[in-house]
Amino acid sequence: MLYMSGCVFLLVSAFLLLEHVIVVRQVASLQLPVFAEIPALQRQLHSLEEQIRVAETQSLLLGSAEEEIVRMYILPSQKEYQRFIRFVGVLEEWLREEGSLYAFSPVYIGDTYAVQAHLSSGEQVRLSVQPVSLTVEVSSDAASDLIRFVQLAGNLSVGDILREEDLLDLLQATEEENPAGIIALEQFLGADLFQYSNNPRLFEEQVRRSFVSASLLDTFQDLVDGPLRPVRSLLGSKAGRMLQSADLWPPQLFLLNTVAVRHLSADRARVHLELETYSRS
Amino acid sequence: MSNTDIPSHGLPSSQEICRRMAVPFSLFFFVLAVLLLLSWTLLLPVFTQTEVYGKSMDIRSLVAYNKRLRAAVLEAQHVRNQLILPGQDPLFFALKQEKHRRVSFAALQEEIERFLRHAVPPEKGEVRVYALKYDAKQSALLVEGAVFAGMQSVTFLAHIADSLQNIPWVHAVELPVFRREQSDVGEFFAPFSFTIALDVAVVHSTFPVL
Repeated sequence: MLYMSGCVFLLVSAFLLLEHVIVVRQVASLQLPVFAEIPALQRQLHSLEEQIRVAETQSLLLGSAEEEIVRMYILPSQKEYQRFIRFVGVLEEWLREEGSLYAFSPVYIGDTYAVQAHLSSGEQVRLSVQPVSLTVEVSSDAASDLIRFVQLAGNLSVGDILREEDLLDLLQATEEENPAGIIALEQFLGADLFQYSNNPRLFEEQVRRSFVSASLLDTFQDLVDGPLRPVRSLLGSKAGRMLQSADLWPPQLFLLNTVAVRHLSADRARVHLELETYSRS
Repeated sequence: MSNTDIPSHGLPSSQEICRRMAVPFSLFFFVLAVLLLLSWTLLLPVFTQTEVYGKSMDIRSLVAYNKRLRAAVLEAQHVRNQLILPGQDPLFFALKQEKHRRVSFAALQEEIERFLRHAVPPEKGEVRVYALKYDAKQSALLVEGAVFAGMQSVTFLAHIADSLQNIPWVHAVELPVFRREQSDVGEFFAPFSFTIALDVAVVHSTFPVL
């Protein structure tokens, strides 16, 4: 009996000794880095809460204008053949006026079918998909612009053109180096692509003025010179203005399934596009 | 001589040793356990506690507090991003992501044509691209063309086939038939038709949306 209790005390001692070792090791290895990290995390949290407060106020002021535009034009509730055909008509007219068009085949519209779209919330939404294809013979220089024009359709704001990773990196860098610049960045990302393309300096200068860090300015300049350059050259040109005057901005969203380009001669290419247009059903 | 100093039966038995050691054994570990318990409850917190904004925390609470703060920062970033990034309509967001997966054809074309241009030194010949087909849904690229490098056309074509497989955004290449032909004007050339399966993740991070 005495031995049994001795053994129990031995086990209790061993356990307590182990706990001492664990705590001492944790203190030695973790306390300093964890302690040093806490003020930075608290500052970050405070700054984020401030940004959320300002962004919420701004969202209330702007209302749900963007969502309304998306519902009306980009992902309409019904099939909009007329709007799509008018979009193709503007494409044809633009290429013809530029002197780049050799032939424009009739547009083929396939049978509609339904798909289930899986949303990030886990919800499923039923969508109507309309396959569309067209073949155009244009000058080789115009082929890239034509394809870009079609790939551009369905993007509304500056932020839509940027990849999510690039956007998050930019937000992260702004938050770390220049938290006050977040609001100017928000306004820039939410700017209408057509308005931005026709007056890029106005929108870009607003961000540049609010960014003080040189590395952040460089990152911003990379975006302006990289993914945003073809948007400016397309929508800031005659094509953009024709789209706007035909009341077709923003165009309906297309997903590009296939692009085939065949060089017919040194300055002539045949472009075949297979697309899908979407509507809520 | 008295016989009380030396036991008549020799060394004590092991049972006898255990019986005699039982009291000091249990007493020793009892005292050790009590001392360690006192150290654990009273001494250790005193030496390992840290003051964080007027609140005293031991190492475990400190680590837990740090974890909670990290989680709160991540959550706040998520909420902030939802508010700041355009496209809050979840359906539009989902389709936009799908649209972004189908990268810019112009950028893809520029990149593959640049690669083919540099595959043959200008003094040796050239590569002509006749057609390109990008199947965005299947992430595949078909390139048709010919290598014009005289008698070495097939050698250069083989070199192109090898090099294509080393491009980071190329997942696999279906090789063409290696043959040399002669044009009407007497030029030797090696026609090709490469079907390239693209590495979706690398393509997505390499090429722009437009």
